[in-house]
Amino acid sequence: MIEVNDTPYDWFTNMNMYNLLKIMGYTLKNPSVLININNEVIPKSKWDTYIIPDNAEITVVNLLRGG
Amino acid sequence: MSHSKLFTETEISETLNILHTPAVASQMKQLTVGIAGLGGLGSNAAVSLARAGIGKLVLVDFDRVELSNLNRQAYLLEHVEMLKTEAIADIIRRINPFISIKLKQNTITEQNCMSLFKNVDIVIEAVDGAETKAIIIETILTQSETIPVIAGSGMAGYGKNSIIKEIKMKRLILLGDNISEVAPGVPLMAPRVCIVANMQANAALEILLGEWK
Repeated sequence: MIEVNDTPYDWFTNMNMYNLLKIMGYTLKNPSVLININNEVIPKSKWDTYIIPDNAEITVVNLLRGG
Repeated sequence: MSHSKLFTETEISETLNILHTPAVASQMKQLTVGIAGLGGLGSNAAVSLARAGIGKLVLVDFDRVELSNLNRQAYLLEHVEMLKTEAIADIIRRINPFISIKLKQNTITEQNCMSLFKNVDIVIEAVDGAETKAIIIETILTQSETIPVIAGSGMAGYGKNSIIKEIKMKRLILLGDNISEVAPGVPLMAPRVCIVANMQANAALEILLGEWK
């Protein structure tokens, strides 16, 4: 079980960032999405190899234009 | 007119000591804040940090002031067409001419981000583009082991005070409602942008003055 933005989801072996993005409804390599796992921002350069651990607490934020 | 002639450094410094307490005022003087982008968020955050008596500001923007910026950015009519870096420096010098200011006319990229902000204590992310926001946050959090980032996301429109929130992560604070993106009919306007800009400046002080848990 993992928690994404305070909502629980089923975890499975070798769950990766693209599985996570699909769950959250984002397209692959969406450049403005920020993923924070167990209190650590995971940069896009590591998305290809990162495996999500069971019991992960995850925050997914889609940054918005404007500043 | 040289604004440093109006009051001495000692007069300004002692006034801030009385207002903010000597402990906070002297700590403030030691701090360096980097601001990435000098639009609605960055220009207003810079002004608040200058009023708070920050020691040094590293201010980065590639752009010039346009008339259409004046609905929300700190600039004045006389600044239109000036570089934003030069214009914000002019405003800051009129508030406190003894704040050290480093100006950089750069577009921020993954490649130059760390060298632009290498000697700062904290970075306020205040750019317009969502992709650049992500690049700045990811680059600083992964390439520096100490510098926190205060980012802004979702501040277009007006009203809805109560949905503006603060998300705290490790070395990252995200401010805004995360819903209100700039869109046709949903412009950036001074009240809401200034709220988020000042929440960013406020969060920076919270971290730097050691209150952050």
